[in-house]
Amino acid sequence: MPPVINKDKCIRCGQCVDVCPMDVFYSSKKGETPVVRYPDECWHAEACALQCPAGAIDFRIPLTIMVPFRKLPHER
Amino acid sequence: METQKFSVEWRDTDFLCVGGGIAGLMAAINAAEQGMDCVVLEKADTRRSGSGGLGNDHFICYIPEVHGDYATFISDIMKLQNGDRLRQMGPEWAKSFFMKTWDIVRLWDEWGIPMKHDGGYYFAGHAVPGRTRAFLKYNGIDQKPILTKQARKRGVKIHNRAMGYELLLDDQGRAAGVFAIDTREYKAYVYRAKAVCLGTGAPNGVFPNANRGAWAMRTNPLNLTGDGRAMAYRAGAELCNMEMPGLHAGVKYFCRNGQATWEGVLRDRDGVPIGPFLEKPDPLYGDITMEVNKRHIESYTKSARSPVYMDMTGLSREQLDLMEHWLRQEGNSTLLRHFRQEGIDMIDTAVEFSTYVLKLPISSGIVFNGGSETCVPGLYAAGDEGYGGISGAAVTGWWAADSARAYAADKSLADAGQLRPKAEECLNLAEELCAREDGAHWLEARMAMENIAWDYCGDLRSHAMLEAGLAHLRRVHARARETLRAENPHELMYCLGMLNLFELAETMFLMADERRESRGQHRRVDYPLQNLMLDGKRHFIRKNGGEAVMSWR
Repeated sequence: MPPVINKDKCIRCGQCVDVCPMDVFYSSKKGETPVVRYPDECWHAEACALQCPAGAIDFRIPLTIMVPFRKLPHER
Repeated sequence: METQKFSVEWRDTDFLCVGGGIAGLMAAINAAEQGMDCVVLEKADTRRSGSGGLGNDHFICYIPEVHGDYATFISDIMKLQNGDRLRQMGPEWAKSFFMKTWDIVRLWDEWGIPMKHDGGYYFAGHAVPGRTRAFLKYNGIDQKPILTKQARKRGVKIHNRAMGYELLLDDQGRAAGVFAIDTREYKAYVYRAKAVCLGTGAPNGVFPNANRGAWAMRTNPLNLTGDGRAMAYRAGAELCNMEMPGLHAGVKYFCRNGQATWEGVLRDRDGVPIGPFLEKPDPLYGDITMEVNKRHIESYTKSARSPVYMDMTGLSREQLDLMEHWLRQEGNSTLLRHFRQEGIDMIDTAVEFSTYVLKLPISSGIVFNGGSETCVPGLYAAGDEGYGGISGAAVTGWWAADSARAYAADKSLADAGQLRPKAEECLNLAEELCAREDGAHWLEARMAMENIAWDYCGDLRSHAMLEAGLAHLRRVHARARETLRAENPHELMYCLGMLNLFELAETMFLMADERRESRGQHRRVDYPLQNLMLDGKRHFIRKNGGEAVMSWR
């Protein structure tokens, strides 16, 4: 589930719905907390979070896109 | 079957830009400045849509006071990735393009897109150590909201959430309008225009994502489905080099553009650099190894030799902070959020890189000349059809408007009757896709197409496989056309996008079969050598009376 909206912080202004390039909030209604209707279509680029005036959007990074990392010998 | 009824609205304008990316907005801004009535048609929202929607941090350009002699500059640029494409466009096009980039840099700076860093022009990345640095680092995260504002200020009408699907020609074969659907309501639009510019960006589609289960995580947004290329092709315009796939490399699993933003060294698990260019991170040049050969990373992992890491050790904290700043400008805020959440500090931790999967070509597609004109009168193309990424889109979009203004000066809108038959055909299609009670979801069609493209026209190609694959692709395409089903306007957008991608995939198969050589990512097992006689030539395809005709020039 990509964008996660904090219902307590959300001011229901609909700006994330307006701006999302993938329209993952499709069918969300004006004046209500947006619904993530198409989470799989999220591009994870944060247009919504950048737009949100209330800081109400967080992201849960899907397991499939976690980045592998390690400390190389000279970094230990 | 009960047909879903759409309301239809006819609208008129002088100049219609399909696709509100960098190219479309720049075309619209220039056209409006020259007094044209102008509409931008955008399937998302121009403030954040397209490959540049979340920003960019590097802008290829020539600034005389920085680069000095143009001859040295262009000779170095020709050696970089896409140098071939520049060669194909020709030295004259290249020179006028680079001379124009300097104007755009000054314009954007004036409009509020900060093109300077620390008070000066800072060039870094995508460069060979010691040679010309042609990529200007800039703060592009808000480039789209700013360009949108500039367009509105000049009276451009921005029509968001509407997907242009079909080009409408008048009875003399000139571009005279576009059929579009609303992506949120059951509405269709028939735009009449004196001139049309297509700037619908680089489609990712056709090949499967290597990262199963993350099908929307691609270098470019999922909703770029090559609509402009497909509608240009159906209208008789030429496409070129559709068989030459693009290939990218970057952070493993979190598939993204922005390879040049990384300033570290690519190393194997023992810390040994995999390329000859850098021993320690270099913010000015970056490790150009993957640009020389993006498969070099894959050669390590496919042979199980070692994972390959991007290692920033050696950068100071201040330098790393700046690199992270550029990553944000490039649209990678979520990646950095992920690193924070996982406690990854790149100061002493390396992140894995990988070669991504093939994609449809960037810098190919709709053929246009130095004025961004296609071979269909009144039709222009710009952006990722050409060369140069963001700056290429800015310049070619700008030029499209110059040409369109001159062309449209003595034209009037076509009679609605000339556009109606094709518009009605499109409307019937849209209504039919929405009326089906059961059928194929667009994602099912997409995966079927991706499987076929990969299995028969993927990493290795041959006439035997291409011929069989094309036959099957056409069967599946025909069945998709009969069975695709959209539950709502959002899914209708993807269904129509799928039909466009099928069409483009067919051109890829046809052209791959016709290109009897190996070159770049087009690897023919039955023609393993590069045919030097094709150097500097482009491969064209166009529709003539329903038949695909291919040629070389």
